[in-house]
Amino acid sequence: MYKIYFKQALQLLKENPFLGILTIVGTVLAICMIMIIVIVYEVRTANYKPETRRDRMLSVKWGTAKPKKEGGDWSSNSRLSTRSIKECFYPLESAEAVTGILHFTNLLATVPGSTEGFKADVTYTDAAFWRVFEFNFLEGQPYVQEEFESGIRKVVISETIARRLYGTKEVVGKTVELGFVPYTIGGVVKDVPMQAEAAYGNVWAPYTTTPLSEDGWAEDLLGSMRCYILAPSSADFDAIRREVNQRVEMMNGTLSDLCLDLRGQPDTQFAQLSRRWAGDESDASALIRKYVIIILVLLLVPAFNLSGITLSRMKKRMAELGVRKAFGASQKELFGQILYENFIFTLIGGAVGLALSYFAVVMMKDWLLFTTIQSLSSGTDTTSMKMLFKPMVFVYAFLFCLLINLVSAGIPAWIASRKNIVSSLNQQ
Amino acid sequence: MIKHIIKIIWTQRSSNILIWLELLFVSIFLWYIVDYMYVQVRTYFLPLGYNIESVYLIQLDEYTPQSLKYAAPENKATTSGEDLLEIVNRIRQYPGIEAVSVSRAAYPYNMSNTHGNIRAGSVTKNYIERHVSPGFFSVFGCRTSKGEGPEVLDAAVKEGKMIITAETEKELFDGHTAGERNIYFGGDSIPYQVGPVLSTFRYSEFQQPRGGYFLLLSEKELARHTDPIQPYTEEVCVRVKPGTGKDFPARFRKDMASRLQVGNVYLLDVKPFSDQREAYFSWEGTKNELKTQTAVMVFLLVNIILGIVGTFWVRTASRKSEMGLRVALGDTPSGLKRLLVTEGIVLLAFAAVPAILVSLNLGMLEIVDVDLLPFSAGRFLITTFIAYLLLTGMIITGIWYPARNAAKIQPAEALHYE
Repeated sequence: MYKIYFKQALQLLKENPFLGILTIVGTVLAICMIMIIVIVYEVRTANYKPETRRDRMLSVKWGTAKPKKEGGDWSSNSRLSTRSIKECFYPLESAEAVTGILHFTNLLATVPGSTEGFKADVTYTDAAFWRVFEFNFLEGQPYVQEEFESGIRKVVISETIARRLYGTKEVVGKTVELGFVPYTIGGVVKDVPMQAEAAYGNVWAPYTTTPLSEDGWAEDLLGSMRCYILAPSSADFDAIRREVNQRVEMMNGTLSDLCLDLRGQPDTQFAQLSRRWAGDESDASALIRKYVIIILVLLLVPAFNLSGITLSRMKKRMAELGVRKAFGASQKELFGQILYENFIFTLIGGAVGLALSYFAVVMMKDWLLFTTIQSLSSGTDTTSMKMLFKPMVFVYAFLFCLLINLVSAGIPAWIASRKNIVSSLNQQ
Repeated sequence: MIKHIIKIIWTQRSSNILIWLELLFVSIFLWYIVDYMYVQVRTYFLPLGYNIESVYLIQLDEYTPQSLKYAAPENKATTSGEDLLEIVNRIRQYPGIEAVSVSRAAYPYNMSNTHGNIRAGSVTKNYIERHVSPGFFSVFGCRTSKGEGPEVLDAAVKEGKMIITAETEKELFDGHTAGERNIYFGGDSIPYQVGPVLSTFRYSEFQQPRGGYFLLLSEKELARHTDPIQPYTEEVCVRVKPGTGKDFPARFRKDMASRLQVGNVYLLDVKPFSDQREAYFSWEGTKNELKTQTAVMVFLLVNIILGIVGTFWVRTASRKSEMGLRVALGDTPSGLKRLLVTEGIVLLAFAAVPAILVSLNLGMLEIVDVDLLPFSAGRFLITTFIAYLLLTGMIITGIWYPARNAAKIQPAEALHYE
């Protein structure tokens, strides 16, 4: 029976290609816009290397220092100091691992003895960094806790940097100079896309090797560090938040004038999206609401407009539907037939729309996959297909097609299938 | 004919009211988007006051105490600033360099800036303050408001005169030419002489022209600089001679990297100024916002076509008998098409009257963007015209195909519907 519906739908398309194409174009547009949002959302929140544990990771990107006394009307917003991280986060018992990261700085990378070099994005980390994130090591090993603590100048570099320095990725044991400070290369990893903002860099070094990590202000509460907490599972988030709050309060208790306020952090990967600048309040539910409204508008506006076209097509077929009804087809059957026929159009539109959305994301990467770090980084873009092709994207696309179909064909079908037999036949 | 069409629309008012409502909402919404885009695009194309073609940004850095090459201040005869000046001299001698400048928070597309209060007579205003070395105006190809070349500006700043933009001049001196008048800092009593007036100096394409002033960053002042030179604070920019190839950064680095190691300062990076522009845009966000708005507008326009095709298709299909009657009584197919299209446009006109009133109110209440461009009669007329041109185009596209189908009908067949 579905074969007949399919043939009928094709016939409809042949009979009136203009309306058929309009229906498809409408669907393409809606699915394309929605899927762009979905793909971008996946890139921002789904797991991929090296941020393979985003679903059980919490982040603290900013801190606020303010006077303890009531009525203090100033506050200072910045990254955290090493001291705050050492006192409030490193000792967390409910966490699996905690890493403090000094945001990357542009340093000149050179081979010893040469003055020619290029700008590299150097991210300073601790040793736990390599447990929180999962890098693809092509050569060598990361630095370990003892090396980190004793401030040994050992780095991990990306494949591109290795090739630019020595023309090969077999560079473990060789030296690279960063701002003319020599470091031994301990490992080589695959390049990291800029969309992995937390782990990004193309050179990683222990932060104990730079005086930058000692910079602190506002009673040494604020500095230049970010903190990422790996939980055993997302179910432990609440326990971790409680422990963080306790530890922050403990530290604040030892201070005389100022106190540290995390403004509701640690954040989940989703919630941190809305905390772009220092001092931003994160409102995850507002972000969800925004997403829902945008997707509803993108779905419903074309769907209602398409239903007008479907209805006009339906009017022409009233007589046919009347005959079928006269011969005993139930209202439910007719309703199903119309939905099914139309779904073929929607699916064609959906497939084209999804392909188009991938095309758009790849072509307009700078805009759609925009990251806050791209303006300062010197790295080349390494967005990979693995980040974009997630099975869930296809499931979502199919679901949205179903929804569009339900509105654009469901409403006319409901009107049409309820019509009286006599009045339908009368149109013959 | 119009009278006749109005009569038709009136008799079919029950089915027309829905289309009228759709047109009403769509035209208000579309006008709003057109207005937003118009303001942005217009601002974008206003004169910038500088030209970054053939301009390159040279970033310098300093060895840290951990570096093998680091020389402690006590073992050094020169200050960081003197080292920087020596580097600038060496850059100036490199073949193909037309002009070099050192500046602080001054170049366009800057991610940091300084503000200051200046006073002339009884008027005090807050502007962006930029510190530049002579040469800055040549590097960025600036002109005076009278159209003179950058040399005039560079010479004046070298004498220690303050350079103000035409916007500042207008605000401080109430439209009169600045001439040799004096400007004071906040509560200071030492006057600054005003040099030739700069035509304008916009922050970026997405900001409206705003006032600003330039002060001399003298060699003496630079030589006193003892803090480490930082890539984003000490801005070194060069303009290369026309005809210099795109390989300039690579060639310059290769030739000059070792020559530009003076004291603790060394060359970090050379990049075209357009890279700085892109970096600024991605940091600031308006460009991305504009792209999103454009996407929304295209989406809406296509949807308007969909909606209008749908409704007019139903309308013409259900009026087949009427069409037939008209053809039978001697109307030509093209006359019929014209009738339907005019009908659509008259319907739009009916919706447009209240819609324009609503848009006008949105403008008067300043719900539209008024930061970049004040809401004026000219702006309203232009944006209204564009919005309704787009709508008319879409209505004609939407009606044309159903109308053609209807007009093709044979009179006998059409009358059969009666």
